[in-house]
Amino acid sequence: MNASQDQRIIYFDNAATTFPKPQSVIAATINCMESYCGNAGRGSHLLAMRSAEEVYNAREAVASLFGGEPDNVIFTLNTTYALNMAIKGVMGRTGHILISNMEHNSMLRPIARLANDKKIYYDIFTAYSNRKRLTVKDILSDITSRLRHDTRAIACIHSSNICSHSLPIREIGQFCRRHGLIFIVDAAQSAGHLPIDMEKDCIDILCMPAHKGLYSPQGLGIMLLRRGLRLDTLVEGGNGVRSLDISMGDSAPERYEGGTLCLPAIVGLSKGIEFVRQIGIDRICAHEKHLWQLALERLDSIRRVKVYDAEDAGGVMLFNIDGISPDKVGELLSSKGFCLRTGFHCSALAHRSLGTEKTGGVRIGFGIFNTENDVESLCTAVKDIVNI
Amino acid sequence: MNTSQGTGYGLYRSGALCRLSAGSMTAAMKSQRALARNAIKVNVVKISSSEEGRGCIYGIEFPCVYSGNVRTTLESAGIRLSHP
Repeated sequence: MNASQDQRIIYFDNAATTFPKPQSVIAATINCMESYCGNAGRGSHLLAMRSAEEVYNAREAVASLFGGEPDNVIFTLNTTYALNMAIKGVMGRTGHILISNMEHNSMLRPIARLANDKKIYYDIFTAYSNRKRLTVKDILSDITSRLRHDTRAIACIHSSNICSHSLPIREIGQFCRRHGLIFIVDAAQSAGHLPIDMEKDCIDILCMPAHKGLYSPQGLGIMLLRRGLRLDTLVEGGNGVRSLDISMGDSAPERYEGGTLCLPAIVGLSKGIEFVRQIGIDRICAHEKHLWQLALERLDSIRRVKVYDAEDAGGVMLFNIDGISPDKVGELLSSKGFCLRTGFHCSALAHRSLGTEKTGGVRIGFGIFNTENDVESLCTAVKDIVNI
Repeated sequence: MNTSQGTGYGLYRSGALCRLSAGSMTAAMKSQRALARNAIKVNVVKISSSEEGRGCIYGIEFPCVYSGNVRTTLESAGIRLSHP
């Protein structure tokens, strides 16, 4: 069903997945399915080779945007999968890892699982406090105090999925370099929204989705490795290389890419990145911040509405209406055509840090296709709910 | 390539054409793009199992007269086509 057939849809769930997708992404994906969707890296016939070229083009596009190398661009199913590969690839056997108090379950759960199996142990550093605005020095000082003799890595989000708080990844990355630690960054909410540079930010492993800030199809994630870094594999299987050998081989990216890649999504990713580059990450960021500020002004003026982390402008805003559950607010907004995600957003740690661990919240996820009118309409609808 | 002859260094000759094994498709593509940037056109090909004996190896194919240029260009681009 086309959502717009029944009523006007105003989409504010861009932090979950961006919608709509650019026409160029849709056209390229359809063209792939219709014209040449072979199995990349699995044969030498025309369609297999054309498909392989498209995959390599996408690797180049990713590497160009984030400052890595095409052969270190590893395609995965999604960010969760990429993070599992990164965490288990680095920490699969032993050691200590630090994560922030703003992590999504995609980071927390694989680490907790390894810790539960007594393979590793971990600590949580404070990257956000709802009582005090933390400086970079505060964050690095807390990280330093939690280092152990066998700390191997720091893994953290770049930007939160429940508010617009961002971590100082460059400074944390530089800290990791100085201390010989692997630095893993979850860019699920920042790729395409904020500038990221593997080299300048001293990132060893960058994990991100295609379908959020890169405006591409779902079913595709990316793990970008620093040159020279070799991880244990999470999944083994056919990768189109040296089929008679029993191992996955040493060469990235194929070492980490067991099984057929999702070519239509990969082709879409190339166009999604092109779309982001044409607009410019700085302009996307400015647009989202502008809408965020507008929403803050409007929501702040409505009694019983509380906006959390009202100091960090960006692509995500969390709010609640006193006396009405977030799920009820979401339901009422949905009945008027607004798409927002409510609840805990798979982020127990972050909600605890924000002080919303008991209630959850209503999340607004801004995207490039949202307008001031969308924000005005949403805030009017929130006001109507308060006045019921 | 029925008449291929291994050199021991991943380079195979068949008449006027040479094939250099890269290992993976990505490595072959990377080599192809690096050479293209230096105006050397090569094709990405699958090296036959009989040549490598390991199955599913990709590489690049080019006129053998370019062999020296190919190697030099790949080396200066930091690409080592020595299959592990």
